[in-house]
Amino acid sequence: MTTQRTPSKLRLALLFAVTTVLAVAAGYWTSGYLLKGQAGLQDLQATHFNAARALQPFELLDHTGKAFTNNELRGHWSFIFFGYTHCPDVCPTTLSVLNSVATRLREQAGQTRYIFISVDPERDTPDKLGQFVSYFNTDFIGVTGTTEAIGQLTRQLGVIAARVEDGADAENYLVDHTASILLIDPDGHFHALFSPPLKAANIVSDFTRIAEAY
Amino acid sequence: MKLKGIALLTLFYSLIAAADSPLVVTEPWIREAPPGAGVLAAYMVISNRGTDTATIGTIESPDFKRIEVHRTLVEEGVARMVPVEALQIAAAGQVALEPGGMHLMLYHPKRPLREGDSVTLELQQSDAACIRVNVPVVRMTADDTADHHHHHH
Ligand SMILES: [Cu+2]
Repeated sequence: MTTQRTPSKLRLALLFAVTTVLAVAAGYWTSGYLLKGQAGLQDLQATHFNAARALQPFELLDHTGKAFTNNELRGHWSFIFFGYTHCPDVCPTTLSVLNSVATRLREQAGQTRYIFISVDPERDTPDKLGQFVSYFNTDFIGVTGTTEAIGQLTRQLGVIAARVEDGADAENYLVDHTASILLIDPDGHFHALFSPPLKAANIVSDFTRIAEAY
Repeated sequence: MKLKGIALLTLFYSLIAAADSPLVVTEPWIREAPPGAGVLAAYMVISNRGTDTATIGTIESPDFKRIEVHRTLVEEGVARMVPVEALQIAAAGQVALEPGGMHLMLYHPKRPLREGDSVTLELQQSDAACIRVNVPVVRMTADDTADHHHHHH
């Protein structure tokens, strides 16, 4: 009995092994097929989402006072950075990087936009934001809005902004905020994320590959 | 070229100013603030040529109401600035204050500062001399230029 049971067990085990190998191979083949359009995106420094995320409707104001909604994110790529004008280190440094990105991508100026969204609407009026972003590049767009409207957008993007009070100097409070640059695709979907250390050359080469695979 | 000139000129001044201190400040610069910004940042490299750890307690300037040493930290993708209570430079060591890292926070400028201006910063070393550094205001709006600025340590 035992001598007969052993071969059948063996056969079962073999069958199982063969099935597993086939299933894994099929999995590889399918995923390879599905990722064909994203070939070469495995070694990006950017975080590239396999499925871009649609954004819920939001309504903000650009620095000229015009409405800034989901519509303004369609038909071109958008590089978005969240910050505030009273930020003397990270924000000017990041906007300088974005200016270098814009310079390197100037051939595609029609297909790319650069947007600085305030996480400090109390101090950042549209006018102030306009002066701030134009200092780096006159094509940059400053965006602000009510605290609720900004929160509605940051929450769905996973962007963090937290005010830190300064007891000694109430008007100069700091705001902790997400340090990454977000990339929105021409469908208006959240497509990728560039995280520090931010270098214009790296962002441009990643972006070029992402845009080609799109 | 212009930056190099300013850096060299400032290096010259710094060496004179620090004659009685083991600390030498090189490549100091203040980022010209975009319009409307009420807080500026200053960067520099501080070297300690002495045989003891040097501590900088307070930093003052006739051009600012208040100066703090900050460190920018990025944790879980979020940038925040934390005050550094005492800036310490190990014997024969150096500390770089640079964009996205340690920096001086210059609060409430008393006059508008534009590229080409310069500001005196007084670094008070605890139980030692005060170092006077002449710091140029520099317009920095591209990261390529920033790289260049930091390449000639
Ligand atoms: Cu700071």
